[in-house]
Amino acid sequence: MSTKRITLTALYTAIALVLHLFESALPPLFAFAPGAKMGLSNIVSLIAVFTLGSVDAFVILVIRCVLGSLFGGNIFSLAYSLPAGAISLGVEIVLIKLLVPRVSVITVSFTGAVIHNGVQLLVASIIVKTNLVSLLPLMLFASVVAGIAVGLTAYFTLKYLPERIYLTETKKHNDNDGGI
Amino acid sequence: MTDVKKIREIKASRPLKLIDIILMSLVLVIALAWAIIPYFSFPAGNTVQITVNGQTSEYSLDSNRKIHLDGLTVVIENGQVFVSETDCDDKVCQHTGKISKVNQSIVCLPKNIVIKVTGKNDFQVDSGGGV
Repeated sequence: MSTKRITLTALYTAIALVLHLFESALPPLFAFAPGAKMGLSNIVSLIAVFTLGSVDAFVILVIRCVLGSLFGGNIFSLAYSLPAGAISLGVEIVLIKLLVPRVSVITVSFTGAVIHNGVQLLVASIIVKTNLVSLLPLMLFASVVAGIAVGLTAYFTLKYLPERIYLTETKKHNDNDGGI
Repeated sequence: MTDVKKIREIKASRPLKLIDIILMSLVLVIALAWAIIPYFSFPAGNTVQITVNGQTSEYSLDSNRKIHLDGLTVVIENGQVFVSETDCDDKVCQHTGKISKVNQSIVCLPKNIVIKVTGKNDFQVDSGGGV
């Protein structure tokens, strides 16, 4: 693992954590869907899958969820954020590997948002011991909005982020770059 | 494991394709149907079940009253039930608004409180709990 890679992973984690905390400080964005969020830190996850790879994306996700729930002052929120985050990221990675660029990043983030909300409702149902699936259609509407916003941001970031930021291998015909 | 090939493919592609619009419209239509059908077909309820930490108590929807529990004020008014005040941070339960139909519910996760409307002859979906 190169120094650049470690630095990038740390940088991404920091950005994801800030987005996570910033978002939890905001008032509810969708009045119709209680508890629904934009999932801003999913932007970082998506970019990480492309620029660093699946494993690093998972590492960033886990650190972000653990630290986010610690900084948020409620360690129990980990039960909501981690399983939903991990499963939706897994689905997103599969979609990225198999379907992108036939489908857009927006569809990937939208699907991720749907899965995220579904798992979160499931966890909430288990915790409060009540079937909350009736909230799912509202969550689906929120997922469309969140998916478009997050997917569009990820798309434009990937499009305009200079490649030298994440390219680790130096050009083979150029000895000046050396490296170890 | 940087997927440069894929990133370049994305750079060359448009942000939204026809297939994306079709997929999302499909999900939107399903969500809309799912949200609207129960609203029209489910009958108005007549009982409110309030579950606090797994213990359920029932109230009639017909008589107006205010119930105070654990920083939460539940108001039953004109056959509707809603949370008028709460001291928790996210105020999710308060934002849920008024509910009156069978199987609609207001949930307060931080306090583990569930408010659910039921009817006399309600066709309960298999609820996960009651343990």
